[in-house]
Amino acid sequence: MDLKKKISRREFIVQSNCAAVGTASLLSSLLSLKLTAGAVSASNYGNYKALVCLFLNGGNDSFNMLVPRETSAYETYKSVRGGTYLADGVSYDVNNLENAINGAEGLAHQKDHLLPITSEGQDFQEFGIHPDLPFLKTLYDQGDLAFISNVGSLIEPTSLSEYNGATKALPEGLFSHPDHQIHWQTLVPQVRGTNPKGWAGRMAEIMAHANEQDNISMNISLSGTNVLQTGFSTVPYITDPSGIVQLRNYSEDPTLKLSVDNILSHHYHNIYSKTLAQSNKRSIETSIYFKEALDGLSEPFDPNAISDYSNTASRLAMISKILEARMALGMNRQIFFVERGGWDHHNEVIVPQADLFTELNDAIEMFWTNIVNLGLENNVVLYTASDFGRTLTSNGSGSDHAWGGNHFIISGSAKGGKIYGEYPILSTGGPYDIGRGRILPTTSVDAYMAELAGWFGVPQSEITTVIPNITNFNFANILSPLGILN
Amino acid sequence: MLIKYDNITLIVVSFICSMKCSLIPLIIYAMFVLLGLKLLGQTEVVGGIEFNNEQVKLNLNDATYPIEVLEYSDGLSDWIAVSRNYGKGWESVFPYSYAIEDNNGELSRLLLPQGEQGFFRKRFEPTADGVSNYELVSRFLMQASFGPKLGTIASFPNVNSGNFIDENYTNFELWIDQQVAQTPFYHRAYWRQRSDPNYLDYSTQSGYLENEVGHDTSLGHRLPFVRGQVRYNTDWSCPLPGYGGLFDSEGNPIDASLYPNQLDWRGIPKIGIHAENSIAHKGHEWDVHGLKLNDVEKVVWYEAAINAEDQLRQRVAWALSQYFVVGEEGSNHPLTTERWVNYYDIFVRHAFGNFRDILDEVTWSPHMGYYLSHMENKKADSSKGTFPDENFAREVMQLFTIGLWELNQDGTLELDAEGKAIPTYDNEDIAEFAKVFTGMRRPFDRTNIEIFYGNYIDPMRIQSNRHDFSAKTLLDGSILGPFSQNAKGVSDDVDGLLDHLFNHKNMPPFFARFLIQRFTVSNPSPTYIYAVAEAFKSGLYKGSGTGNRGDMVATIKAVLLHPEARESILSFDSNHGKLREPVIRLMHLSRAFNLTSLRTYEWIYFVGLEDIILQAPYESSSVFNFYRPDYSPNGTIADLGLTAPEFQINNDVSAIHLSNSFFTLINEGLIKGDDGNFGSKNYADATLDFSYEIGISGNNEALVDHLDLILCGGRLQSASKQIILDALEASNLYNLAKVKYAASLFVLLVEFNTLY
Repeated sequence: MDLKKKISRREFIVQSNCAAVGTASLLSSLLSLKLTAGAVSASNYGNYKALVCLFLNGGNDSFNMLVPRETSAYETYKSVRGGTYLADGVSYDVNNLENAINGAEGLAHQKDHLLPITSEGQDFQEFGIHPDLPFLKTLYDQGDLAFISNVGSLIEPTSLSEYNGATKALPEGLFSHPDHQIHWQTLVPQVRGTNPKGWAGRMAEIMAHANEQDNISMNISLSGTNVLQTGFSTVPYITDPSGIVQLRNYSEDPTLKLSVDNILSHHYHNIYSKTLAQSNKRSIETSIYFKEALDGLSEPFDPNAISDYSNTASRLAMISKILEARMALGMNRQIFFVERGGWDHHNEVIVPQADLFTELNDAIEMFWTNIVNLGLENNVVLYTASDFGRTLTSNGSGSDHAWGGNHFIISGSAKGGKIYGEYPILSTGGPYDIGRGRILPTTSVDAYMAELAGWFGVPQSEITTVIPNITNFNFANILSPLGILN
Repeated sequence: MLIKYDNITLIVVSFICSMKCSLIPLIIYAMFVLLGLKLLGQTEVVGGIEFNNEQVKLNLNDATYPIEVLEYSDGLSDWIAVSRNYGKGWESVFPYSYAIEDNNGELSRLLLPQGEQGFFRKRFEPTADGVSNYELVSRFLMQASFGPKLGTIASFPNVNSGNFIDENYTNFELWIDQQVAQTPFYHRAYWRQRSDPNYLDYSTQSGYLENEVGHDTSLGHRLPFVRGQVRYNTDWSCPLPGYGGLFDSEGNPIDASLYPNQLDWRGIPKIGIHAENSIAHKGHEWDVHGLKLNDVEKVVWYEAAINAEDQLRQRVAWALSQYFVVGEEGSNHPLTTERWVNYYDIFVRHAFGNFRDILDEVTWSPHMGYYLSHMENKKADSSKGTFPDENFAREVMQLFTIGLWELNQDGTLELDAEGKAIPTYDNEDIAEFAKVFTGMRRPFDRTNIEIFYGNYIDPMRIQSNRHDFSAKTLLDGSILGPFSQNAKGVSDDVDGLLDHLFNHKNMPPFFARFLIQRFTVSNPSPTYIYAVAEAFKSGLYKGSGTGNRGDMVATIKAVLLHPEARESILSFDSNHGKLREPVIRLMHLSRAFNLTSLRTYEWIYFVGLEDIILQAPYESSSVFNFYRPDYSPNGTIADLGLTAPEFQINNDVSAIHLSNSFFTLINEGLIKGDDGNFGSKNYADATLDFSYEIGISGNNEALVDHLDLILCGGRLQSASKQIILDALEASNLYNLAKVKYAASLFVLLVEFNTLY
């Protein structure tokens, strides 16, 4: 990795000025990253490992993804969501929901439509998965999928009375999309904005020696630039399911190549020109290297073969090809980012969420089948992230921005078949309701991400660089606070 | 004046630290030699360094040369301007605005805080080359239009005058005034004239908008529309006799129903030429793109950007559409057209009007009401346990009016006693304001508009018994309402809140920064933001204007005529300027060489730009636009704490796609291919015109200077120029092939892709 970039005192001042007060010492410790970057040597890494982040942009209404089925808890759920959207006795048909709903305003799913699962460790055992996520149930039942309930960004453990009394530090910009999205990715919710950089970016810098090759970033994004994978000195390599795009005629026309090389290698004074030239130079060089690796596969990547795949499936399919090429690429650790938008269901939850879940379910089934075929089911972890959960109460047609929500991890390495965290009581006026059924998180995003970072190989001595607030939560095992992956 | 960078000679370095270190300048000098930096001319040490207990003072030396810039670096790699003297004395450069002590005619001194470390160097320009009027105009048109053309440069007010430039930029203001007077290109009107033959002209009737014009028979049915529940395409299947359908070789319509048995294996009639296809495609219609259902409004947009005369109005509308965003993603009924073009026309209509009117029309628009879900929003219902939808209430503050943080008038953050930034609102305010946006419903259907999912053209109607009439507490603690419980009470409530936000002190600087970023620079100085905010607030630019808060003409003039926008000498500040929007670069290329459609219906149809270059009209993936205003790419820009929004959509894939798009457009035209219509198959449906360039192509120097003028605003650096000249020499091409080769290289240059 290119670590020549120096983080200066000047930058530190700029960042401190931009950030809210009280962050200087935190940023200062993050900025000392340059001293620890690449601190972990190659010999400390074992087998290949990859993280796949599936970011559900907009705020997934995830208390409809994982629902209580135990009688009284279900009734509480049904009541707070304003009743069910289907009359009793109407059967579930994802293709005909629009007609079936017919004016009903409730947001609750009917109990007998949910796919039943059970879990230890909660107040009751009977839960249900959204009817359009059957593959998640399959994985859950075979122990390869774990749910984590009521996760959200926090700075320190916070109770309802502490929230109401404002006696604990709270994330900046609560309930706003960009703020919560950034918090999930920086893990520094006391700072508004992206100055702390993404945790996967910081992690890649610490683990720079894990990969033989530094031509390609440890971080690969299938969904464009993002905060998560942008570190202080690293940026993700960005690709998409259209295949590896190369500059036209660059390899064929030596005069053009020379001109382009001269244009892009020139030392530009203007910062926008300089940034553009540097970035385009890197893009062109990486694309050549990357294409070579993918073309060398026994079944080279063919964008036409996936042209009718869904948004999510085409990206996950591309990832499985890159995983297949991991040896050619010289990679031992990789982090992938896939984003699916469209979850901001103010207007209507039931139908659009069912459509998105169908897409997710099919895409994950295709992807996980590929992973199993590659023999990588213990080497890959797919996990979800999303801005926030949504209000349990309805706004008459959909739900609004809230806080805690449910997530899942898929991996052969996970102790699956269980709901981790604390599944909350779904009612207004409940022990975690801060109003309108906005649920105060009981598991911080830090604990969830520490599972991933610990599994990925971040040593205990470096974990606070990746997850700065983790020590605020007093976990016995800081590298596996929830006990899912280790 | 504009001077090319490579004329600069590096002469002075110095070093400041809290200790006395008099030998340092020599050491740094040696380091420069080692680093291979050009050290020409005499070397001198800048004045001297003074130390006292609080400050370090660096003597700047009064200007010896026409242009001097003092730059700072912490590591001898990224140099950033901190102070400049462009002939009017030393001034500090945003954002590292060290104080300057004016010593009453003595040497000016830069005041550095004790403990500051780093390197300083002074760059200077010994002879200032003039910049031609044409170059200045071209650069201006890169900011204020969808790109200069030779014709628009040559016809610019007084462009051939010897005293074209004055300190008020009079001729640029004259152009703006001419643009304001131009007849607006209404997107909805353009579409109605060319779509449903049943459309009647209501544009002059009271109660209707000026863009509700009638169908123009002479223009036929060139664009698809929906009537009732039926979609009328312009292809052979169009059920309207005389519209769309098939044409014979003379261009006369053929009634396909007369030939029921002559269908090919795909069910398409074998006779005639399909109307949506190019006349160039006879027999090869599968090589062009059929118009996708959600792209009709985009075809209208490309027509406006490339060919409309009211360029400034269209650029302002485009900027506003990135502020009050409604995007197709999120299933906002993309298959209809009129609601999209009608919403966009809010920005066309009020581009030179008043911001408050835009805010009002946007708020009452059912198109926005659907997107941010305040349409059909109801007061809380305790029997059902429902609450008002908070979506619009949040975004109207976060994005459309005041933003997240309390601001000073110059756009800097206002800080509390502890030095913390102050949020403008909290979630309780949002829940409170959500009550205001209740009782707004979709308007009733009517005739003479495209109805498919309902009436999304007229403003939302009021149903007062759905409105929450309780009094609302505003951000300053004052109380709004309660109003009488009728329709007027609802509109008073909404008006009251919109006025409250519009009159908030944040509104002018928040909008000023946005507008400046869309037109001129990514990192405006506080002085610049203040000037634009003042124009917005007072409704006056240099004393003229309506005098009403929110006056758009005054605000736009303040953006485009501020010295920070106009003085090309500021190109010496390394942080000056911006990365241009990809769509604007593509439109610029299309305009510069007069992109001409070869299709029967004259569509200029860029397909799927949103997937290829991550930007296209109507295709923002969320209400947060294509990029965040504070996006900062890693590397120099992030290190300096600066922003460059457009870099958010310039990534490994999109940047190469964009370059390839330019390449294909130049060499082959718009062609169906794997990358939207930047492909490599046989039949173009629009091509560029290089006839002027072919005429001058015998002289490489002349060709390059001409391309510099129309593509780079005359900003080509000599190194870049040499690269092109060398390539032209080496390629050994002539005429059209040479022109295309030169243009293909030009669009890869930073001088085309960035603007400063």
